[in-house]
Amino acid sequence: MATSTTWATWTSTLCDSTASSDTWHSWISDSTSTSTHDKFPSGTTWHSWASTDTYAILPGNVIEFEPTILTHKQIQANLRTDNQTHINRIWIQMEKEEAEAIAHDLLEDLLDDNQLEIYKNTGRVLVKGRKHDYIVRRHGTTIKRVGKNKVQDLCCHLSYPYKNQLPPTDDTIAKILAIKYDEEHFNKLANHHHIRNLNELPDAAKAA
Amino acid sequence: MGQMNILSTKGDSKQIWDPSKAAEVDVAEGVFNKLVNKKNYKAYHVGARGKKSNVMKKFDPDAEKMILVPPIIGG
Repeated sequence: MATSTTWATWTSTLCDSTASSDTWHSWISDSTSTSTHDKFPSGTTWHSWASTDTYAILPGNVIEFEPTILTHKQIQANLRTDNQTHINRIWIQMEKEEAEAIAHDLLEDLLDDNQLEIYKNTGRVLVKGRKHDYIVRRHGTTIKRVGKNKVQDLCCHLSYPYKNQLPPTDDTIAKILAIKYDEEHFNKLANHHHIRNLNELPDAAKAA
Repeated sequence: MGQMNILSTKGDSKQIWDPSKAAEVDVAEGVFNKLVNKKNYKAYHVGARGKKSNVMKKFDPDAEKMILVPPIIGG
C-alpha cells in the first residue's frame, strides 16, 4: 500500500537520521497503540488504520467514521453554488454602490457647493442649526455638537429595522434634515455623551 | 408636479403626482399617511438647495418636494 511505503520511508530515513529518533523509539515503545512500522510491535494498528477508514486514534480508543464521497453531480452542484454566491456578492456590492450614488444626488439638493466638496473629501458635513453647529459624519452614529466653547458628542441613528440598511449618505441626509428643521426635537432624542472644552482640543482642530 | 423622495435601501424611491389630478394626489397622500402616521417617518418639505423647509405633519399636494425619512432614535 502506498501509504505504508511512505510511512516506512519516513520512519527509516527521517527519524533514524535525526537526533529525534531516540525520542521516537521511546514514544512508540511506550505508547504502542499508535505505531505501524514492522519493526515496531504496533504495526498491526497501522495496517488496520491505513486499510480502513479509521482516521483518529486515541489511547485505548479508536474512532471510526464514514468518509464523504461526493458524486460528480454533487461536485458540479457545489461549484455552481460557489459561483452563484460569488456572483450574488458582486451584485449586492453593485446595488449598494448604485444606492449610494442615488443618495448622493439627493444630498446635492440639500447642501451648497462648498459643503458638498468637504463631504466628498472628508465624509463630514458642517450643519448650522439655530442654536448650535453640528458635524455629521457619513459613517458612524456620533455627531459633534459645537457650542461656544464646548464640543459634545451626540449619538443617534436610524431606528430598527432601518439601521445600517440604507446607504451611508441617506443616513447622513436623515441627520442633516433632523438638525436643520427639527433641531430641538433632535437634541432631545439624541443621547448626550462626552463634553470637551475647546481648549482641550489639539491645535490643528482649533485652527480648523 | 409634486415629488416625494422616500429614503430606502435603493437610495430613495420617488413618488410623483400632478396636483391637478385627484387620483394621483390620492395615491401620493395614501403613501404619505401610511409612512408618516403608521411607520413614524418624518416628512420634510424642502425647497431649492434646502431653503423654505419645514417638518410636515399633513400631506400638502402643492408641496413641490418632500423627503420622507425613517425615524431616528438615540444611540
